[in-house]
Amino acid sequence: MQMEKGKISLYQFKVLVVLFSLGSSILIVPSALASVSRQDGWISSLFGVACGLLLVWLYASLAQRFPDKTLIEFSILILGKGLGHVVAFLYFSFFLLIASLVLCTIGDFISSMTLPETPIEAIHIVFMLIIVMGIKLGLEVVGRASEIFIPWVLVMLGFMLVAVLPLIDMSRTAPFLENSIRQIAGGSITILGIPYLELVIFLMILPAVSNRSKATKGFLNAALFSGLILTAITLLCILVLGHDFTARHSFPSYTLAKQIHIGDFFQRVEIVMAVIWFVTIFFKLMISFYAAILGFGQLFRLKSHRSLVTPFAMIVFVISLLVFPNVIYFKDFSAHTWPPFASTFGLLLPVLLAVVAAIRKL
Amino acid sequence: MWLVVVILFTAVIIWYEAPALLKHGQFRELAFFGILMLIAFALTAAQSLKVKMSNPLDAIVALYSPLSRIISAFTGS
Repeated sequence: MQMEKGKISLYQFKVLVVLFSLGSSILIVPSALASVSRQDGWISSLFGVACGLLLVWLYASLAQRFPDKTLIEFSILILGKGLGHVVAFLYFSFFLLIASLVLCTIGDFISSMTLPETPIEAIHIVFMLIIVMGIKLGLEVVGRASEIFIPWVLVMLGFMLVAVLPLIDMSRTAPFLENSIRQIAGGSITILGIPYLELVIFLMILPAVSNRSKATKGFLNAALFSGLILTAITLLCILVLGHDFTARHSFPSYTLAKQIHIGDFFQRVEIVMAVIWFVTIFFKLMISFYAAILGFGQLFRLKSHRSLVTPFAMIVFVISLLVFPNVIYFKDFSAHTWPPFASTFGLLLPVLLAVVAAIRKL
Repeated sequence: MWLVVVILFTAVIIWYEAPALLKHGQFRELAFFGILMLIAFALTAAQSLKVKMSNPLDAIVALYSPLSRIISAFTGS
């Protein structure tokens, strides 16, 4: 029983991977990297991207075994009815939790940086309304929308990267490789947690890609591309703001955009940059919410999932208001609890599924 | 005041979604819609009344604290 009939092209899939990997990580990752491996944060980032590509290869090879089945469907197929349903339900909760955390991140960002007087509930409701509209229109529409938005995101990102170049102080990366290998490897755990371990979500989207033979290569390319963007942003944060300042800020890439002054007339462009974060986070939220609803529908063998969108949107809205009571909790959670938690779903279970599938010769 | 908004919103959603499901005879979907709507209504109503609810992340933090302590000890952060 195929619930989702929409098809997306390979290019749209790659765009979605890039937007998903940049969403929320572009805000959080530089600060987390700089706080562990300090001025070598960008080396951690490169190391993390290399390990992340191995993860993506794992997901792609799992998907290749079951080309027309989603993660939920093939985990039930591989592990059998009882255990398979438990794992599928855990994955559904994981996707729903990602959606809530992403919504919380954007709400936190908007209410602390741009709209401090607006209650956070209002921001969450407005954001959730467009998500509900998007999901009801289906994956094809989301794919086409991503195609429209990607040039804007890339042009604005490129502009930001170029505009902060005059502010670079090369001495800020010195002393080079001062930190131990353990610290550098430890720093890369953050970038693995957000976004690479979360990319397991695309196992829900891959069956909808029309050109499957090139999907593995496209997945790897897109993950590498967004990893390099994240590394570049981290490096620029360290070069312009310094590693201590980067680590102390909640949203260092936004602070980086604030530094842009060209002459006396071109300033305060950071809100244009904030638009990049809105767009990328919108797509990240859209994909994780879509994966959660599609997963729920497949888990309980429902014929359509359109009617589930609004109740789940209300549930996500409430969870998103509960999850992060304050900034300290958020920083501590994303640095210490999220990487092991996400690796249960992004590493342990996929490896288990791959091994059992190989043993059972499915 | 917000409770009224929640009740009205829930009523509108049910009024909008349920007839279509009934017309197509999708009773299984209707049952799931009903259960989820009930959970969603309970949660949003509790939120609107400012009931203190526990953070679902606390359970995850507690469950993963041994593992996260090992990782922090390894990286020295």
